[in-house]
Amino acid sequence: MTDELEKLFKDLRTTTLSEIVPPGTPQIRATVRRRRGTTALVGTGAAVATVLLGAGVALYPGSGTEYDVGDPTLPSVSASDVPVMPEPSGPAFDRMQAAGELLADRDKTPTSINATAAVVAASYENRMNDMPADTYTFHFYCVGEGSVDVVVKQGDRGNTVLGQGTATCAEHDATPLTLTIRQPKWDSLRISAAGDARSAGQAGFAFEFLSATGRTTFGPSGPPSSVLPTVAISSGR
Amino acid sequence: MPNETSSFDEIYAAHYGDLTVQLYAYFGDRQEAQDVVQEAFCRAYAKWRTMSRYDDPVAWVRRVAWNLAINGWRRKRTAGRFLRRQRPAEPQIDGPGPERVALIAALATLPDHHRRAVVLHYLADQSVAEIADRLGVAEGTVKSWLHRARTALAAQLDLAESEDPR
Repeated sequence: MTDELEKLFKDLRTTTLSEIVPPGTPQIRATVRRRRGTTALVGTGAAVATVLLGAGVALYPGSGTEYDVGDPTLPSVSASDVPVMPEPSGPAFDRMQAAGELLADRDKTPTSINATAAVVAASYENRMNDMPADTYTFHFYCVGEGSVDVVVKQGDRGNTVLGQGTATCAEHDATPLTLTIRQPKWDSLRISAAGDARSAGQAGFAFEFLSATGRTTFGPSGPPSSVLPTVAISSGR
Repeated sequence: MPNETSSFDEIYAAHYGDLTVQLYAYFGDRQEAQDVVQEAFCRAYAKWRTMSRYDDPVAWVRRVAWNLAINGWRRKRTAGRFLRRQRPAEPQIDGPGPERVALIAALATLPDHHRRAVVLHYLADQSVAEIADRLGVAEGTVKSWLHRARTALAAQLDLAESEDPR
């Protein structure tokens, strides 16, 4: 008997493999080198290492700090070969972490779809892949001073704006910019965030997408729907 | 001693894609799957001098990747995630076809254990016995999970039900 499921999985495997672009082993070496350097630092560097290694330590007690990386006599990729962003540090990093703390608790919010945190820049763009058709509540928190202009667009390209607004930064009790994002079909979302002179390089931000309908959890919610995109902007929660 | 760098690169090239597909089917998010697999390889490389002596270092990478996936590593990693996001843009690709969307959506409705068993069976080509050993449960339990998962998927995807796997 022909197993239709087997065929579907085979097609899934074939098509997905053709789309995957591995980041590559040079990036792995750069990451490991960066982490090795990070563990040698104190203060904010140690905090970053704690965040990045925490899961590993929990899963493999006693091995999380083992860093016998390869053979040092072998040729390695020079730092200039791989574009690696510098680690955030200092007050801006603290503000980024503070902004991240304002996001919904993942364990208690199954509809928290995707989130990230970073230091505010004059020009920042991010992309969330594979966002199912759904209505999302988008929160953008900024900790620090100044403000950030935020735009959410549909897809990897084009100029279909699904939501936009300005987040006002605050050192304490930051009120999020809240947008209702209606994703009309399974697609990626692009988020751009432009900080003003006071926030760029100083403030930290974090944003998240929550399924307003509860339909989408960490995975897809179902086949694309035909909901048309509209925008509703408000401030505050 | 074999060249450790080349052996790591070869294993990465041979297994990154397949492992990513498996976790994509589990998560429903290809980017998240890619991140998790890349992290698993980072951890392997960090101790590659030791791991390269293992009989099957790929098994270690697989186990770490699945553990990271199940423990929600990526979702807990807000502080580090932005670094990866700064990478150069990937080539533009078409969106997934309707059958793939439907399959991923149907998988997402399955209980975690059922979904994992299905992914291991159909995408990692593992037998019921291998899945049972890997997950530490009885073979009958795996058969039950697979049966229920297949029934649920068949109903959602409007497929004719087929024989249970061995």
